[in-house]
Amino acid sequence: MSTVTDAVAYASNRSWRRSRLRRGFGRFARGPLSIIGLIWIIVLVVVALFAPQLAPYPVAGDILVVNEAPSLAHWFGTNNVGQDMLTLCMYGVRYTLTIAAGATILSFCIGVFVGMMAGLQGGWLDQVLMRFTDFMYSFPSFVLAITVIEFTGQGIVSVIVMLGLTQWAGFARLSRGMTLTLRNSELVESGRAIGASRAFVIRHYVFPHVWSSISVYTAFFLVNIITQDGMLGLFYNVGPQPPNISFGSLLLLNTPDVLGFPWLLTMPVLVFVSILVSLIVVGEGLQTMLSPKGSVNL
Amino acid sequence: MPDEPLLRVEEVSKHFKVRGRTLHAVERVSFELDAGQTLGLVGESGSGKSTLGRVALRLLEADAGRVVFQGRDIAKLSSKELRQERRHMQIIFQDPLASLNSRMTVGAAIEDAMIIQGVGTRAERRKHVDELLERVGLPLSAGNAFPFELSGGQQQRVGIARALAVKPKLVVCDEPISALDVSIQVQIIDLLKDLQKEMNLAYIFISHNLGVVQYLSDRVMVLYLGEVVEQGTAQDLFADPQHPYTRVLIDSILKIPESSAERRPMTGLPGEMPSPFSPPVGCPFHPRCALAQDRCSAEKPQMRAVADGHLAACHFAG
Repeated sequence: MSTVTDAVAYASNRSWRRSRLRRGFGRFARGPLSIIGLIWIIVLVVVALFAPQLAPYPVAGDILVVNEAPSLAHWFGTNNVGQDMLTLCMYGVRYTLTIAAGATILSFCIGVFVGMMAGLQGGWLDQVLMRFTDFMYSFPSFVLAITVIEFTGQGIVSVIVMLGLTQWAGFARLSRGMTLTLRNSELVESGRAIGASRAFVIRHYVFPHVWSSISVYTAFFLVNIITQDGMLGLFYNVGPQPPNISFGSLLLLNTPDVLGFPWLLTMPVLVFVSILVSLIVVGEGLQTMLSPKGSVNL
Repeated sequence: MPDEPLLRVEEVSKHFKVRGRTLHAVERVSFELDAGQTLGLVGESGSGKSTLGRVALRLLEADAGRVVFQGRDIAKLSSKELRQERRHMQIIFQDPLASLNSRMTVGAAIEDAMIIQGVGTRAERRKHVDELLERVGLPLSAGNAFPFELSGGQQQRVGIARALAVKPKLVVCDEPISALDVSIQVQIIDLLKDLQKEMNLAYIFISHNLGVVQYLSDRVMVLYLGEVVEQGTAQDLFADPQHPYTRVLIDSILKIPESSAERRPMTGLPGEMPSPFSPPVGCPFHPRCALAQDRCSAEKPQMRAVADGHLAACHFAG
């Protein structure tokens, strides 16, 4: 009986619909790191949205202040053409988060659609879709990405589309696995037994479980996409047109001067890493929140 | 047709294709069930009890035979008609936790059934959820709990509330107490019995607990390898079992002997149930039967009446 008393004390008199969200967020808030990560991400999103307004200097740079060390005037210092590093980092955040969000949404949609189709339909369609997924998984997607960008030209949309079209295999595999487990479960059978349509069962009984099982993967996928985009910029000089700049290009641009002027490396890298770390932390908090049993502790 | 039963199952068979082989899960089973009555299905694991229950609800499609529910052949219903008809036929699962949505609170799960069937307004549904919770013996606040926060018995009460939310006429109880503690089993059984009386429910009660089946059922069917080997009223069947398999089952009920004179050696059933992929020729039970003779492996015994309303499929019955 103690279990129900606990649950009762926990839920008190709130209506069962509202309490779900509240209780979920309560679990999220229990990890202080998740909250710090979330606040930092919100700050970064604001920076990303209003980079042109928030940036202290124009992107173009001022040749009178070349290679200045961090100071009150230039918090992050300046580079060899007099560009303010804080300004560049802000545009970097703007660009990076756009790519991350766009490519992740695209990959998620393609991957989850393919995975759930394969899992629900089974048979030859499952075989075909999953062999194609294996192919995408093992294919050197960078080669494809760079080749296509040669044709489509540089720019934010091309990078999003290329990363999105090549990176979805993980989403497909995970969602197929979860769908297969659910397809023959008593849970889905109970939905059918009560008279729910196939679409209703998929929407309310299958998808929420698929989503929760891949939500953490999604957070790490964001990290992966951001890293890949950094590599595209750093090693292949693939990125957006100015004033937008990727962190990869930023490092590439500054590489010759890094030894003499270390802030050119440390400042962008710090910002870049802070994005990744806060995403990871928020991802884990998200798992705690979405899982009703909420067991992940940070 | 005033005598039309609530549910009539005629010569239903269900086969599964597994890697090119055919599994005979249910073979030519027939029965009738009236409103407010209980049919007990007993048999070992793999005897086709659960499959038969699901075929009766068309959660599985029958390969042969007909299932007539409220005078309509449910195989002929369109998927939309079938979904509407499901309001009248529900199922209670063996594992309530597995059948409840872990992302829904108990209240939402019960209301979900009414939403799917388009019953009532929001306020009416909420009110009905509270009534149901109270009726199945849960505190109102349990509506806020998630299924895993409840005990097994409470979870099963939720399963019952959800099944009854749409006021069905037929409920298939698929081993609803097998996963529960003995002390809880009694409570759930009594609850099911009370609800049956109140709502005039018809039950198909699937269990391998013979005592419970005897207590709850009006009629009992014994399945072996997907075939009915004996059926009759609970009273007749337990008092005077005709099929050797039924006798072994009843003998296997553990009783605490009151005196040493009553103590007798335990007799189990030798061997395992044969593979349902290749059921034996003749009587399906003959490889394990103490009475088996040459005739049993050659000729399949037909169901025949041994008394009024009491049928058995054994050459030596009666």
